[in-house]
Amino acid sequence: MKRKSEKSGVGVIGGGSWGTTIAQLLARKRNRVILWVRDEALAREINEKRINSKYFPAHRLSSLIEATTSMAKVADESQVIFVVVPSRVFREVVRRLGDFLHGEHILISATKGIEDETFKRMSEIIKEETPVKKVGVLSGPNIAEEIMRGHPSATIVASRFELVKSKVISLLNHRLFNVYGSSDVTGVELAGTFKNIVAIASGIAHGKGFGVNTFSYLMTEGLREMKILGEAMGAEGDTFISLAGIGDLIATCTSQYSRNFRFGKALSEGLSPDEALKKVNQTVEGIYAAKVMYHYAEKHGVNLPLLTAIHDVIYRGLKVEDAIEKLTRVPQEE
Amino acid sequence: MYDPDIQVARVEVPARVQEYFYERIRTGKDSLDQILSEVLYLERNRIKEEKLNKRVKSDIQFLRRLNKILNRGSEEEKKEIFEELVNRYLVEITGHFSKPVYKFATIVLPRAIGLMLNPLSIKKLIEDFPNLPSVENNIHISGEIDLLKSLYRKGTIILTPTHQSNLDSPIIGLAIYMMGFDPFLYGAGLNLFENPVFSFFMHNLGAYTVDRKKKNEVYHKTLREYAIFALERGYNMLFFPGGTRSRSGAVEKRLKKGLLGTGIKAYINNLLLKREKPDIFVVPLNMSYQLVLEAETLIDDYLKESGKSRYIIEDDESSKIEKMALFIAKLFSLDAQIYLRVGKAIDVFGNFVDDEGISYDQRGRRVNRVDYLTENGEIVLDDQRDRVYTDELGETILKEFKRNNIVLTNHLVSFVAFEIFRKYHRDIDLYKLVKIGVTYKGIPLRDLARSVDKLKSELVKMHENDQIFLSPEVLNYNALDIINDALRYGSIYHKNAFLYRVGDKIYSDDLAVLFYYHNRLDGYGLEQKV
Repeated sequence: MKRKSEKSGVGVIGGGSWGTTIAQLLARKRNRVILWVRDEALAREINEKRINSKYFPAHRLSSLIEATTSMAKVADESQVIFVVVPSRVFREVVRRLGDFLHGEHILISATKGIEDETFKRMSEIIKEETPVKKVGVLSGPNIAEEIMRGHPSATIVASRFELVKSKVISLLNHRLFNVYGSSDVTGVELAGTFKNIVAIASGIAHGKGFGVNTFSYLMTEGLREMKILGEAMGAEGDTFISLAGIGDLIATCTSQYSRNFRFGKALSEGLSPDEALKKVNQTVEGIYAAKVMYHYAEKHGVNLPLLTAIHDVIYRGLKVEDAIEKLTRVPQEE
Repeated sequence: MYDPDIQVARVEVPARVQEYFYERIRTGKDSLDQILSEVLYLERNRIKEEKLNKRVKSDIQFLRRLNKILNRGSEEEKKEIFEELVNRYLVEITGHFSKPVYKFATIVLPRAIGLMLNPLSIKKLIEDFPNLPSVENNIHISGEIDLLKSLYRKGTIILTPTHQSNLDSPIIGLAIYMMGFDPFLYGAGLNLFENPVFSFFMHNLGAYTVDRKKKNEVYHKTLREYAIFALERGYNMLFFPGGTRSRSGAVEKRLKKGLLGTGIKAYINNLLLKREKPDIFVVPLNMSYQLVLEAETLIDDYLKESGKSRYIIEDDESSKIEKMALFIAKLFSLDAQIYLRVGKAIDVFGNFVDDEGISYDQRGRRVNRVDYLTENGEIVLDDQRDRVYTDELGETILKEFKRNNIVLTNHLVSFVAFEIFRKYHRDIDLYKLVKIGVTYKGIPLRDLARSVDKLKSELVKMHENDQIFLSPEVLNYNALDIINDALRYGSIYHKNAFLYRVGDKIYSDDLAVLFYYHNRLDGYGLEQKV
């Protein structure tokens, strides 16, 4: 039992915009951060120049952040590790990381999304690929750029373990970044994925030149649908009116820079899903989300008109105009 | 539990229970008055429903005293009666194990039952002596028996079987004996102890009593601490993790975590006390019968509006000795086979364990179990954390239950027949259909055979992929033989024939019971495959 030394750091896996932001937030609370990045050049840039020029050319990074390309180092020096890599590579990354982990570690997924094909949530992937059981997820209206600028914001950490919640809160909670606890891991992960579908719908509405009434309608309907689906899957209804639910939904649907939003807008201009994706030229999580959520809705026997409309536009060649027509014809008595 | 250990238990267990409550009082979370009033209130409610006997009379006297002290007693007296209460519960719970009685019972009982049941003549039996028929011949155990045997030597086992019938525990008792193990401790309903003959055997066969009517926290805590204590002392235990017999007939989909959580506590205590063999291994066990003694009562209870169902059923088929004897006789006159299947061993955190007692994560990496409890190498106590671990353990048990579900001919044919009847009556809601109970439209035998064949090939694929387990009959017979084998059970025991043949058509006079046997294949999405 003596083989483990005191772990003085906090780990972050992933040097993208959100990973870098989380590292900076941890350092702001005087934590020593070990940040794993894939690219040796980026590690050097962070360690020598205190900058991540690709994402935040204008922000100086804390000297408490040490970048590394060694996962073993992260695992050795930290008990709590945040995993912040795109959902497509999430499994591969945590599998590699898993070789260096043991039961004392705590893993926090700060990645939103659900795995294509397997329909697994990130927290489920962690359990399949690592020996770690103390798992949590971080989710909320967290646009990295705004947080780096020091705008006030808040987030949710969800875990079935009280000790995981309290650890993350003590590591991250700050006057400008309040962290709240939740036990509803399923609900938080589901909300963080479903919102992308609503963002596509919002993009379509924007492209069609519709006003705030339409936005409000779409967000309300989206919220209602994610709550119905969530409850069918065992999530708690209250999660959807929290930061991880409506909070994240508002942020994603009102930000015109969101990829999902831009994808929706491209669809509204008459582009096919493939053409729209080419135009955005980045990963659009909402495309996978629509497939996954549609699968869940079918599996649990719930009828969700907005989800179905977006799904059919992307996967069944439904025209945007017909989708709008269908949506507005939802029978009132239901 | 053996005598010397019982003596220790009677000191150690009350001390732990009292410590728990006194700690709560010290920290202002509770008061002795509140604890005692709650016991008084819940116990009085219980007594109202009980038949008057010696035990209940003594309880009434005790509660009168408790009431008096609660009203006018000093703090000292309250403390004394609280301690007396815990001791009373513990004395009731602790069984008494006698090795000679156990030896006698395990040798005599199977043959006694076997003799009673055998359709052959006594003369033939005597000629066959010393090879007397025994129930053992009808019990088939498969699965991870060797793994169980090696872990039995390395640590303490919690055996967690599926639960369908009150016959489960005697049959598991026999199976444990057949595998060459010493008896496992298990909690048996207090009502079973009222019968003096049963009581004698049960007490001496390693059973302790569980009174599910006692709903107060002091009782629950005492029961739990007793189980933890027994595990720490190395007693292998048997818990039905579903808590109660399956009402629908389906394999458990949800577990009661109360007793299951004793494993991790015992493990932690063992580590802290640096015991030589601290490990606790949980081993799921699936059981399957062609016919279930109490099927009618159970499914009837299930079909009552959910929420109103009774958690405790005392007046069912198993409480009538004649009915039980008839059942066993019928079952064995058909040479019915009972199948048991031992699942993979699991640690108290939900990881699978190999025969060396080493745990592995889902990727197959070796796991050091203690790490789940430590921080910087030191063990940390945290009840909430342990409850989540127990949830994970429960999830792994459920997966094993599903994977090791044993399909017998009656399950397969009942599943197919019920689904076809359901198609015939598409316009009727499931619960209405089951309540109507009788079908007037029969299924042509060749239609049934075709569907059985189709579903069977689906099941064979699952069997080969280790997703379900098929009995040799299901695996080797053709569809018609499977149907004929199942039909032997359809009208022999239950009040109404749930499956029978007239001409070349198959009918049911009890769709509820048919539904019950059908449900053993529930949860695999097979409905669309019929």
